[in-house]
Amino acid sequence: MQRRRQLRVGGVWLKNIGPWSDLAYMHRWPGGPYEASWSMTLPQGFRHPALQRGQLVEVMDGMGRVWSGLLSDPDPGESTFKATGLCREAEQYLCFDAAGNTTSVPDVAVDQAITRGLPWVRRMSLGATAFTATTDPLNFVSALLDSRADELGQRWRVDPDGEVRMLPDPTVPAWHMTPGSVDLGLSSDEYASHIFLRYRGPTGAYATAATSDDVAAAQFGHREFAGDATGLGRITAGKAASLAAGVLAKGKARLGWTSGIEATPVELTTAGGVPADLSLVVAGDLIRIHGLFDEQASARAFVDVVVAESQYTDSDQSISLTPQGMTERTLADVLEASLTKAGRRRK
Amino acid sequence: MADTAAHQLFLGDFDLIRGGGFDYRMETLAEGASWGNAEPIEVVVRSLFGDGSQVTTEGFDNREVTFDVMISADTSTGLALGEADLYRELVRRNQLKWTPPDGVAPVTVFEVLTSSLTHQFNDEDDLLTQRRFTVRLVCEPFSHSLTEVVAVALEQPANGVTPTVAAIDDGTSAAAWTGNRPIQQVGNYIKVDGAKVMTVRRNGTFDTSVTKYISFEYATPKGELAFLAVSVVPADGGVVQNVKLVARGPGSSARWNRYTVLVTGPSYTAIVFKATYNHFEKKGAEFNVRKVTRSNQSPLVGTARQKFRTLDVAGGVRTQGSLAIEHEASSLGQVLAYTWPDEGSGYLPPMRPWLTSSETPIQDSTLVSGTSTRIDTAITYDVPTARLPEGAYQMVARVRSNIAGVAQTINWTAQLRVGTSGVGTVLSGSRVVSPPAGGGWVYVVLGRPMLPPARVRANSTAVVRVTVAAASAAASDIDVDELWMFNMSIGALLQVDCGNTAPAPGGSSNRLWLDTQTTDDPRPAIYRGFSADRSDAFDAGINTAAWDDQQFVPPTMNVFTVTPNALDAAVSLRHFPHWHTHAAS
Repeated sequence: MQRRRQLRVGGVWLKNIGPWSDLAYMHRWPGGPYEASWSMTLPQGFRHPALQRGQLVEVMDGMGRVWSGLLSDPDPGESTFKATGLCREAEQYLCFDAAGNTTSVPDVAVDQAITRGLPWVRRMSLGATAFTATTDPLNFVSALLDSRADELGQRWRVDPDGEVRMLPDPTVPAWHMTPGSVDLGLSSDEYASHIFLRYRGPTGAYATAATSDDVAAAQFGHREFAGDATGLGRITAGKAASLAAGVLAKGKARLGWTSGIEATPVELTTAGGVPADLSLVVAGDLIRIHGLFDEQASARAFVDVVVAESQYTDSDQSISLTPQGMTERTLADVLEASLTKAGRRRK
Repeated sequence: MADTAAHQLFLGDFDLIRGGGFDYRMETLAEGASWGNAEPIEVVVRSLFGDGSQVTTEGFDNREVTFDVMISADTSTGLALGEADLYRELVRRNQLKWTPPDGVAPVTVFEVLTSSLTHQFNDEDDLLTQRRFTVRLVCEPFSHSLTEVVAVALEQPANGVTPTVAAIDDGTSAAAWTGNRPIQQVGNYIKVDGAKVMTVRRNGTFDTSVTKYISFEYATPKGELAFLAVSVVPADGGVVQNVKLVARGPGSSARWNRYTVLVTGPSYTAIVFKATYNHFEKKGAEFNVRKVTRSNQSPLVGTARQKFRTLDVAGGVRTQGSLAIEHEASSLGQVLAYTWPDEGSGYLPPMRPWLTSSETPIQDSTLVSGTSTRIDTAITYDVPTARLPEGAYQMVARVRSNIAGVAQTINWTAQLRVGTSGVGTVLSGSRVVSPPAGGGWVYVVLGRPMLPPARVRANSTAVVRVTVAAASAAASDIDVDELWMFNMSIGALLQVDCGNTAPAPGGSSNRLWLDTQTTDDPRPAIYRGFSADRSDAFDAGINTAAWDDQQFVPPTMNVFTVTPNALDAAVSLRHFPHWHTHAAS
């Protein structure tokens, strides 16, 4: 029988309260632990102080946390409980400094949000200088971190222990898929070879930063993308150029994928050939898919994909993985992407 | 069913075979009766097979027991009274107890979760003043014995007894050895080879009045050992006794395993080893044995604060139970308990036995391993791959920082080494440690690697080299007591803080109980307390940092415990033996 992870809510082990089942959790990259849910049938009228909105939810494997977040509004009549990952809290805190003024210094914004209650820990510097020359709009911490990540060509995540970090995409495979296990279709929906980013300079004047990937243009064709960074506030030309380059570096000039990956432990192994423990496969890992010809790179009989989203039902024999660059093809995915961008006040 | 005096069928206290009395008579009919079966929950896993599928059994679902009863009476009122008495035992939690007709086998108990009653209408029945009903019982998948058993892990020497280890044979002479194959003496061990089943016997009287733990090291350089049986010949001429394995673990050097068995008599004239090999024609067979000793001390690793032992789990299928860790005088401290079914590899979680290089360790008998080691320079462990069953591991270290209040980073690596070369991927990770203000020892999860880093064959001589070091020697001051590698794919981990002051009701605890869920209470619980009868025990969930689901699988479970504040803590398992359908004890 597959081993089972354990749930702890508000410091109370859930099995101490009552039987529960069907634990499922999702990680995203960027972000980290993103969503979790489980089933638990409670007697009518039953209330427990640990099952209150905002309580810390921890998915435990032995002594280690594999997922953490906060309990969403529990509905006593429903048998399903949901929690949102700690990274999502960045959408709830605005960027202020200690004096209550708006700030675009990532370190300051995060530290002050932590002081106000953001349940994170910051050990590495996310950015010690102002991102924008002025801070005209109010921005959430998530928007600032997204922009800073674009500037660096990196992504930010909050790990299950609550530590926020800014990291590049991995280059060393954590997992290998056996040949014949999956076939990925290509999509050019999101592809662009030339990036044009509209921004407002330090004086407030509008300007455009441009960058391109000529190799991609020669291989896949010329396509232009218009980005709008005017909502960030006033930034320097150098920063605008870095933002545009960061968009390219994070895969804009590559074709996307039309399908995800469903993997079993037989098909997914470590580099040493040991079958994967699926609970250890998370978004942000790099998977090398053997037996697939990489049409976007020369002379490679494998494709490397970074996992953008991992969805795992605890103790299951398979895991669903969404590769970075997967095109939004369903209405739900398109709506989520649009609303997420609107909510972060970025265009 | 045959109406003999020997067999019985009770639902609660209601006699289904001879029940009733003055008002009515109850008879259970054999026609159509069924105990049902535990329903396997099978999952088909997509695999690389060209034909066929990989199927695993994830668990078992409830069984349905069904049988018909005939109530007969002199009057129809009597029939109704019988029906009412029967119904009172239904639609609630209950027990169905069955004693087979020959009266030899013990009572089998089915735990009834719920039940229902269906009247089988027949127009002639009322004329005959009888009524027939179908009883349907929804029961737990497996049956269990009537009597709970307590499995004690190992007998412990009394507190204050000086540990004694005496040699029975050091392997340097073949004089005392006989067997069904020519005895060869090589270096410091005895060797036999060349047969599928080999028996080697060490002759000579040895005293076990106090030293009841017989340990020896064995190795199988050639062949596939299927089974090793150990027996002893009592000095009083009694029957040769097969002895119980109570512990196994790594030997004192790479290819050797160490076994410990427990004897009960005061003295013996011989110890006999019988090794049986698979595939002898293809793989041959060779059995080596050495370092046969007797001791009054149960096996330990480092100090008696961390101990490995085995538990006999009665029954034919996995069971629930209550695991107890206790000490008469000392509080247990921050307890680690790891249980796993014996898989025969000799795997043990602590890494100290495999340490190959480090800074000079400082002896400290108050620590779990008996030493503390600064990690400004990396500690290196070389663990034989044979001792690391494949799986997802949790690296847990007991560490202390001498710079309180300053977060420090510990780095680790793991790589396969074949011969003197590292091969394949180097797994690595780091963990930031925030030491407590008082500078005390804490448990830290350093990482969760999949091991071994690369697959090897079962007879591989490769090792996994694990290193642990402070990220910055200049900026840190971290000591390591012990490093454990817990295989989370095969075992379950528990970590509870029981306190380390003198035990008292409501304070630090010298007793810890892990109760798995039962049908009566579907919530497992962890209790800690002072009194053996649990009268002052209280829920320890808030003191618990790890609480995996515990499963107790017959015939043998391995239990590894760390009790930093107590020496020689006792371990026992109270459980009802569970069976597929019929109890054997």
